[in-house]
Order: sequence, then structure tokens, then C-alpha cells
Amino acid sequence: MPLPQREPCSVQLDIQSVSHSYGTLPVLDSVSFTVRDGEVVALIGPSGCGKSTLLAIVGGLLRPQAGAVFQEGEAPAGCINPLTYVFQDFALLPWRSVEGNIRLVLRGLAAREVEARIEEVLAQTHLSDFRRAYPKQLSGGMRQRVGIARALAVRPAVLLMDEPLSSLDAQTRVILLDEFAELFQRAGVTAVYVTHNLAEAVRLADRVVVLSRRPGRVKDVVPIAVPRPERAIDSPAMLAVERRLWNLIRDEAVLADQELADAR
Amino acid sequence: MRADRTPVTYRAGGFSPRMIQALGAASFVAVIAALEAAARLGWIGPLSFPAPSAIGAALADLYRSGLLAQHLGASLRRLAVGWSAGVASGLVIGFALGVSTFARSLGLPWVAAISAIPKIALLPLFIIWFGIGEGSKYATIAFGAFFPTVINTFGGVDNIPRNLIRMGQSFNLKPLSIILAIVLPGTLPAILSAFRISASIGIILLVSAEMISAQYGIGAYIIEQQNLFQLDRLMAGVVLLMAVGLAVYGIIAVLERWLLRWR
Ligand SMILES: Nc1ncnc2c1ncn2[C@@H]1O[C@H](COP(=O)(O)OP(=O)(O)O)[C@@H](O)[C@H]1O
Ligand SMILES: [Mg+2]
Repeated sequence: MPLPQREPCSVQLDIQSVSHSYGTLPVLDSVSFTVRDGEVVALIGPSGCGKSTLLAIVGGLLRPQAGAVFQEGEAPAGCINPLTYVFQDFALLPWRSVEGNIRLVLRGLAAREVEARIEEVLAQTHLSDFRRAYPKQLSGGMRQRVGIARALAVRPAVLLMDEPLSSLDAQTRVILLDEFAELFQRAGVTAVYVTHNLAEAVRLADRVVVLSRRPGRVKDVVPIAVPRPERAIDSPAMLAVERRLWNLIRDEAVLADQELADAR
Repeated sequence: MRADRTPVTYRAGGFSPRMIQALGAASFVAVIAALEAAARLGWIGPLSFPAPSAIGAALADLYRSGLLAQHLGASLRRLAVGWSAGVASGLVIGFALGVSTFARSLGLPWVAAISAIPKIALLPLFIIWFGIGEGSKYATIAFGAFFPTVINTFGGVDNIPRNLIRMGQSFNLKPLSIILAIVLPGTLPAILSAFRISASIGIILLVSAEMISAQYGIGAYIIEQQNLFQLDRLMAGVVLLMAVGLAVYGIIAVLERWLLRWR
């Protein structure tokens, strides 16, 4: 299936020298990178290095103390929320059913359009049989599928995903990772994908932005040259990239861990 | 098989109470039967505690005379009007304190100061302001229901997971949509517990106000029977209050089961 035609190298997001501190704790130090149209950028770095903070700034949920984030380009047809989040803890309303949670974010659309979009995204995420279920009745994997469905329903320009698999058990993670890979390939999604899991980054991303330990700086940007269809988890090319990433963040992770231990 | 082999015993029971309605009902029957037996056997004199059958007869009399409807009706109307007014205004103010810095800074000290007043102490003032009739009773009950509602609602809003509000903002929901679709439903458990507390306080204030000045109403009836030293009728009034209390709890329990079925 051919991907929709897109401008080859138009920039979708431009993150320019973003710095941030919480009180006296510096968390991000002059972080810059771009996200091109149709590209998945993974953001990796040790725990506590400011990944969530950076993504919140990118999504307009936190005001950076310095620097700025720019968006460019035209949003897809029918887009009602260009920068759309997928949360680590799903952020579903427990008092709304699956379809109710999706309907919540489809304000300002004609009723028929709302129903059509709900049908569509439920089918895409294999949730059609669960549309009337409440979150408490669903497994973690199912809940995150609802999170994805809700995000897709607004036809986002860029998906902002903050460790979307981190709350799930290992097996579910593998299954959803496959689904993400398929979705990204099929739908030509533009995304910033935060993770501390190198395998996820290597599997999903076109480029990986590696952050140092806190305060997060861009340590390196690693392109993943392996074509998506060839990205089996155990392929040598993939393992080689993963090892390269590991070498980049290993010392950072060790130091970050000691820092946390000192602070305690 | 080894000699030191023993089964692992289960030790994680308890701490998860359920409600067995039949047991509750049976305890009522048992207490009534015990009191009746004690009265018949002469263990309790009629001047200290009338037999349940005598209380029942007094209730039946009250019903036949048509006064039951009058007393109960007057009380329930006062409770309904006063409680609804207090709860409705309490919800509005509670939400304002919950979402707005300005409202909170301005309102919270007043709520803390005024909620410390025993509300019945204001009845004399309300009688001067609103008259000896219904107005002062409505006002007292409303005032009493208002504060627990404000405090619970505002606490409930505070306890809404921050990430749900951020989720709403991340999807560009308007502030009003966030309040109606996220804050309000998320506060419902706290609001329902506010209903329960404010109804109890409302009943206390209702009866106190009726005892001070009213022609009809359960409180007025109880005081009247005390003056006549009619213990069985006095107790009939108390039983009526228990019935009102049970009914209020029942209604709120039904509301909870329906509104919070997602839990
Ligand atoms: N709202 C906040 N107030 C104060 N400190 C915070 C806040 N949010 C995060 N932090 C701190 O900032 C650092 C970076 O947090 P975060 O962006 O969540 O890191 P990551 O997502 O990479 O694990 C951590 O040390 C965290 O404790
Ligand atoms: Mg994080």
C-alpha cells in the first residue's frame, strides 16, 4: 500500500534551545531537535532526565523557561487537535465507556462524523467489541489501545507518546509494540515517542534523540537506517543500533542512578 | 512423606465488609422483640420506656387522626426546601473554591470561620430576619447543609487526578467542558458523601428548630408529647425520625449505586 504523498523534508516540529528547571533543579539544558513530517523521533535517556518534561513542553502543557517550540506545515484533513498526547497511565475517564472516552475529545464535529470516527478508530485498534466496556473492565493493554484510539480519532498532525508501554506487563508490551510498528508504517504517523526502552526506540523510530542525564542535553541523534519491514527484534542490524545506543546512555544511566541514590 | 509436612493455612481473610441487608433487618426485629418481651415481663416500666406495641399503637392513632401526614409533611417539606437550597449553593461555592484561585483565597477563610458556628445558634437571628414561620427554618437548614457541601465538594475537586485535567487540556477541551465532563463526574463520590452528611445535619437542625417554635412537624410533636408526658407518643415521634433517617440513607445508597456504577 503506497503511503500518502508528503513533502519530502518539510519540518513539522522545531524544538529550539528549550531549557527548564523545577525551582532550583535544572531539568533540561538547551535542547534542540526537529521532527519532520511523517517521521517518528524517539526520545531516550535515563530515568529522571527530563523526557516527560520535554514532551509536556512540546505539547503545550508546560511553559518552558527558555527556548521555544514551533510547529509548521498543514495539519491533516479533519484534524481537530494537531499535537495529541498518548499518556503512560492512559488518562482514561473511569466513568466513561470506551466509546464515551473517545467521544469526549470529538467536540465540535457533526454527530455522524463523530460516530464514523469512533467506528473507524475502534476497528483500527481492535476494540470494536469493547466499545461499551468501562476502563476498570479492561486489561492494561486494552486501556492503552483506548488511549491510542482516542488520539487517532482527532486526526493528529503529531502524536506525542510518553512511555506508552511502560505501565504494561512484558508480554502485552511486545504485542502493543508490534501494533504500534504496524500502525506507524501503515498510517505514516508523525510522532515523538518517549521511552527508556532501547528496543522500542530502535523498532519504531526513524531517528533517536539521546538525552544525557539530568539536566537533559541532546547527547546524540542516531538515525535508524534499517527499513521498517526489516526490523525484526533479533535482527543483527537492529541489535547493532541498540548496542550503539546503549553505549551512549550507559554511563549516563549509571551516573543518574547514583545521583538518585545520593539524593535519598 | 516427611513428618514435618504441614499445610499452609489461609490468613488473608476479613477487612472486606459487605452489607447483608437481611441481617440489618433481622436486628431491628430482634431488638423490637426483646424490648416488647422486657415490657411484658415487667422488666422495663412504661414510664421509662414504652413497649414497642404501645409505640406502634400511638403511631397508628397518629395516622388515623390525620396528624401523621400533617407533622411528617411539614417536616419533610422544610427538610427538602432547606436542604436543596443549602446543597445547591454549597455545590456552586464548593466548585468555585475548587477551581479558582481567587474564589479560594477569598472564600476559604470565611468558610473555615463560619462553619465553626453551631448553626442552631443562628436560629434566633434568622427568626428576626426571616420571621418565626417557615423562612427561619428553611434558612437554618440551608445554612447547616451548605458548609459540609462546600467543604466536601471542594475537597473532591482537589482530589481529581491532575493528569485527567491535563488530558482534557491536551485535547483542547474548553474549561467549561473540563468542568462538566471531568471535574463534575470526578467529584460525584465526594458530592454524594456531602449529601449524606448534610442530610444528617439538616435533620438535626430541622428537629431543633421545630422544637423551638412550630405548630406542626415531628420536632413540635415530640415536644408536645413531652409536655403531656405521653411517652409512647413521644417515642412514636422518635421512631418517625429514625424512619426519615433510614429513608434518606436508602435514597442516597440508590443514587450511589446508580451514579457510581463505574467504580
Ligand atoms: N512538577 C514537578 N515539580 C518538581 N520536580 C519535578 C516535576 N516534574 C518532574 N520533576 C523532576 O524533574 C526531573 C525530570 O522529570 P521527568 O521529566 O518526569 O523525567 P523523565 O520523564 O525523563 O523520567 C525529575 O528529577 C523529577 O523528579
Ligand atoms: Mg517520564
